[in-house]
Amino acid sequence: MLFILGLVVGAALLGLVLWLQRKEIAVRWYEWLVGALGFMMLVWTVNDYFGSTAEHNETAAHIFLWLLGTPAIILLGLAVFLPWLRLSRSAKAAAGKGDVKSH
Amino acid sequence: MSKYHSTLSRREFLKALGLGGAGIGAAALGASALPVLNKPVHDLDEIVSSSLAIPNRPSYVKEVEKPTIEVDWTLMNRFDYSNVMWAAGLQKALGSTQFDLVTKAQQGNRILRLKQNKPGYTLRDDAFVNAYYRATSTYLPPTTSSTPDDLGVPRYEGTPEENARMIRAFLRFHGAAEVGFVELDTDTTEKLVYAYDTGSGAAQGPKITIADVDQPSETKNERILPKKARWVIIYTIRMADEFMRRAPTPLVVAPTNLRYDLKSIIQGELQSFLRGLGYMGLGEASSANALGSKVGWAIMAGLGEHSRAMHLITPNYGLRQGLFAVITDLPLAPGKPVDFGVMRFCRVCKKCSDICPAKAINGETEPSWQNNGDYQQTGIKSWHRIEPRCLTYIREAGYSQGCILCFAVCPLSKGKRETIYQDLIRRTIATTPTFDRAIRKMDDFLSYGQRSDPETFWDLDLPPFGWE
Repeated sequence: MLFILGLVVGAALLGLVLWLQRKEIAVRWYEWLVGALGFMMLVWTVNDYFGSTAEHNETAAHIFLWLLGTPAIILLGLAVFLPWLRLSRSAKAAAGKGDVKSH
Repeated sequence: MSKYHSTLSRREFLKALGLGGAGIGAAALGASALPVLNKPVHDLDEIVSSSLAIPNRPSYVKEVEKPTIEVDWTLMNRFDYSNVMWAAGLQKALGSTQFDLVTKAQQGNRILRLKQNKPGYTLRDDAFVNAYYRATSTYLPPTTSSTPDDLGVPRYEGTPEENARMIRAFLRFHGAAEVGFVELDTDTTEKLVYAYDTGSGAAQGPKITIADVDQPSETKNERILPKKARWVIIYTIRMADEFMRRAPTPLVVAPTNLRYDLKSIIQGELQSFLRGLGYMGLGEASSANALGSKVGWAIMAGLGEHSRAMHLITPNYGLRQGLFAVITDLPLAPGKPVDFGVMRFCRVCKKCSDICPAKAINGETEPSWQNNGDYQQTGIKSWHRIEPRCLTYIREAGYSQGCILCFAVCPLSKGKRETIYQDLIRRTIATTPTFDRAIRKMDDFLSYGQRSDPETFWDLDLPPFGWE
């Protein structure tokens, strides 16, 4: 299970890095860190949700879903939002400079 | 017999070389990734050098010189089994009149609940619980297997370490979950051998005499244990998780009965194996408990720690197992006691005590040397249960044994360990006692130990023996 998960994560990470390079998107180190934390919490959420369900602990499964899943989604969202925010700001700034030059 | 031929699989070989990547191709071939029991076993060497022979102990379990429960061996005397609650202890504690009333209530309430058809107490539940069958368990080994003398060959010889691996592999193949070894010492562990063995019903059983003789023997009133039989083989048999969730209905008795059924077979197999190797295997002469204090030996062997519920907690299965023993003259490398934070955690948690419907489990924070009566061993600093309350509750519910709510609610006895959370709390309890109170609260918050509808048991798709 962990072996297959490792393969999938490795392939996805490689795809992400190649995509970012092609699009020339720079990601800061702390954004990688936030993304990694979010991903680990997501794995934990999925594992403990299905694990608790398999153990017939439905209440625990739902608590894990909310307790671990919410911060996982927030962290993953931040990991996407922060580079997007930076890119859109720099794009606006570049557009602003273009307007000044045209005057 | 000091060297074994290699039984390293291709997968293990690649793993050892750190060539995990090459394992991708090997995994595709499939066959090399099968566990040892799915492969043909060629000889005893292969079993002894297999993973079956290695203690399956998590990394956070630390070996220690002294057990985490304080023991004053000088205060301890060999125990008369007839004093325990399950023998004559309840009658002695309650007196004849009260005991008779409890016995009448037991049968009356059983019939009453059957007529009420209450879930968990219905006729099919009752029939299920009482559907047990046991082989004869004897002190002296069965004589069905050949001895080396019969075959005209020398007896098996191995180092104590090799012998321990061999016995562990043998027992785990035959169904034991955990296996440990204790060397009997006159001033300490030998005191855990009962002075009087299990008798018939409430009667006092045969005296166990430890004597400097060559061979064991037994009469109606006495069992002779040769002094040269110095090693105790202590092993556990699991109890199915799903029944715990249906405590305290009589259904919970089923895994208890099953472990005794299995023990009656496994013990005979082990005794026959030892006989076949040329050694003595002296077993429990009862379909239930006999010979000595199994919890004490299991603690000394390092199978687990003592707990507030006065049972053994093992790292892998918590309270969910039965303990059994055989004494032998085959030299065995003894284990050491272990510490994985149980005694510290029990001080804080108290969940078993809080939940006990009979208020039989001691709720004091600190354990005490003071026992509650003749039914308990002296010389151990424990949370001594008020056992007449426990057994009276069970009997008045209509059954001879059962309840097991303490097993069901213990935070260390939960689940099939499929969640990261369950591993995390065990590691935390073993290393960081600061979080013990938070772990208890979290256990309540997650509703662990929540009871299931007894009727749903009949619709479950259970694995063999209910062992997940």
